[in-house]
Amino acid sequence: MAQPVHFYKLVMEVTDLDRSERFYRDDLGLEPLGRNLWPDDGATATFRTADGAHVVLVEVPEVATVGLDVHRNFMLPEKDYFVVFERLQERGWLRPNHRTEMGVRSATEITCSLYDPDRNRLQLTAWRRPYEVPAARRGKVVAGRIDDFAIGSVTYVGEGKFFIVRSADGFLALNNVCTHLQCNVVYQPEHYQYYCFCHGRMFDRIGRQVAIKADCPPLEGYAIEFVDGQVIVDTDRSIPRSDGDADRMARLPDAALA
Amino acid sequence: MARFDEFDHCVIKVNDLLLAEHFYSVVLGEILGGCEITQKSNMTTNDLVLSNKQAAKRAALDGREHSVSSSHGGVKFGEALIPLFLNQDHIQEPAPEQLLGSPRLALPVTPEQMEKAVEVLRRNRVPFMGPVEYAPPCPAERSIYFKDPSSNFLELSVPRKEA
Repeated sequence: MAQPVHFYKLVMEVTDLDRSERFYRDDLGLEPLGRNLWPDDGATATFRTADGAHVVLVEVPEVATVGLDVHRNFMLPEKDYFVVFERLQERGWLRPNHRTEMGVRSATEITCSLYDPDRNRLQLTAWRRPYEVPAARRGKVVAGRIDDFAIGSVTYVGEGKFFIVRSADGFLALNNVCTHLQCNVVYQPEHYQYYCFCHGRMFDRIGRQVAIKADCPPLEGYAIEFVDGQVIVDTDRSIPRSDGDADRMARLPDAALA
Repeated sequence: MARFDEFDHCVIKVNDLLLAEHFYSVVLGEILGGCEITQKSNMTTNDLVLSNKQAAKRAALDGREHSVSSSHGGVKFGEALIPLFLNQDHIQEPAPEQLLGSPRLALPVTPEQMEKAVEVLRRNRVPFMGPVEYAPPCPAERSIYFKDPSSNFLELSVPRKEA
């Protein structure tokens, strides 16, 4: 059976239809479709997005309180996002708070939040393309001495934004950027896994996705050198990996094993 | 005019995450032909505390109000994502007999799915209103109205074919 692809309608409450219609049409820039199109909803103003969803403003004496974390998200192409953002900022609807917020937001995501005249919270989002996992670009970073890393350990090295994974077979340096949509993962030692707060992707200790239906390649890696007993990681180039080679470790030099 | 590509997601507050997930994935999922459960917060207490501290700090820097992270899950029908956030307060719900109201979310269905909706809602003892037929210029041919277990208003609509 065919699945619905997108939402059909979002009904939002407003206290002054004229004022809100002006906001959604002139300030936000949604395409107006008409007034009072829905017989059972009373006085309404309707707008439409490109995917065919209707945004319906219904006039009520008082808007229901739903909490600040309830928001409605609209996606725009990047160039349109900035047009809308600048217009909203110019007209005083938002503070200059659009952000990528590496670590909280995806590196490729630009987003801002605002309130309509009735404090309904809206969120606008654009994605920069193409999606690529960025390298930390901190040059060659000394992660520590070989002996500093116990077998079985995972250590985050903030200076280079990578994890050092130490196994009996050798070392791995993993980029901390999620391969889903480029947020930052954290290591959860209690679960022996990396977790991405943005969209809930999980990866095992060597960076392979943990999922019933995997949709991401493993976390990317960095090249490792062993010099004078130190582990040195080249953070200038992030190296994509596949599930097949995700367990390939940088082997210790013979001298270090002796 | 700027192009708004997509209405991507809308948060719904619920009183019980498991009950909500069951309702959306099993009841609505049967009508709509599938539902993906997604977006689990999977946060430890430490994670929650830390993220709230970060959010408070960012909010203070921006001079805006701080909204507290909720435990959450989420469901997805095709591209329509509904994050389900756990209510952190007891909120007055509309009366049980009120089945049409706002705010409200609607998903599109085919005429066959609308027939199935009546059967599935009845079997699961979900009170509903409709299907209600609408004449042009209403963009929907007909709609059925009901609520989730936390009294969020929902609607399934058969879109009118554009002339």
